[in-house]
Amino acid sequence: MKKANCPDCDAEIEVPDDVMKGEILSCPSCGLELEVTENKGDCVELKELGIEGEDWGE
Amino acid sequence: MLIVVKVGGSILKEVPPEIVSDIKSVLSEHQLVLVHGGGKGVTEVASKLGKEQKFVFSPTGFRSRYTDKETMEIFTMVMAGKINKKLVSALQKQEIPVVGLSGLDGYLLRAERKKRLIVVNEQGRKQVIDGGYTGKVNQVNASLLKLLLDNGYVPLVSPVAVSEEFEPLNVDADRTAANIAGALKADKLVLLTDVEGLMFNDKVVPELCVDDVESKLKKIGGGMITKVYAAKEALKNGVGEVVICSGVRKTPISSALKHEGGTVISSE
Repeated sequence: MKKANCPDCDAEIEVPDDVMKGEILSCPSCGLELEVTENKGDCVELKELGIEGEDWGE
Repeated sequence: MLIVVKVGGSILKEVPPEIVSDIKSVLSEHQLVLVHGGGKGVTEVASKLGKEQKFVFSPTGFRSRYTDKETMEIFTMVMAGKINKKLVSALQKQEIPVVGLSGLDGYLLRAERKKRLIVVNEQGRKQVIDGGYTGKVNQVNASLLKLLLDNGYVPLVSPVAVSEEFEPLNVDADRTAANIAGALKADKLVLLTDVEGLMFNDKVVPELCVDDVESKLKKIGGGMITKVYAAKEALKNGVGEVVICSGVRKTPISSALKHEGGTVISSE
């Protein structure tokens, strides 16, 4: 597992080794949903997920 | 009464004569707005054109076509062209005064483009992807539909909406029908599909209050989830009741209006 920090509460978050850019993780401490914005080697950057609910097409 | 009927693509491979004759019969007493689906038809044509379709799933179980630019062109061609006009022809053959429209015509359906979607990826984890050309209807040109209804026409709407940037968007036909029914304050919304209604423990639920729907959502699978959401939205916007029922029977719409079969969802 890789490690990253919640941008809001700074809690440490475990990140799967095969994580992909765009994946969504939940902060175990504050519950915030976070999007993986950068994933190079051990460097994983997270930002708060900014997307509203779902409503899709046919 | 004013009734909005959505005819699912699953029952539209050939236009069922039972539906056509029932529409004619219902029109003698009521006003009708029709909305059609046709996702399978889009997939078939796309496949013939060598454009294999990809489907994605949301965390709560919505299934949707991944609609890139090429797929959107095929979607518009099939929905607003092939399927809509096939239905127009079948209805006109029975002297039903139908007007086929896509949501682009007269700004009938305006939608917000979903720029990003949350899907469940191959690892079973949530991921954000580019949203392509899908959207959420946020405005219905009800006055255009009323203009047609007041002059004795039957609008037949395909689920293609126009975005803020005037691009065509793939929108869900059940939700489109719910939006139209809400905008027109229709008395009833009938969702015709290829199953008998909402099933729990292998039995059709004849009646359901909208407040009970929420608790049962997790047990509802596949395409039924969007129908249930559509029902909730329609009722919230003032539609009298929603019936989810089979379109593969003799008088599907008349039977739905008489609560003969299917699932009736209401506010009380």
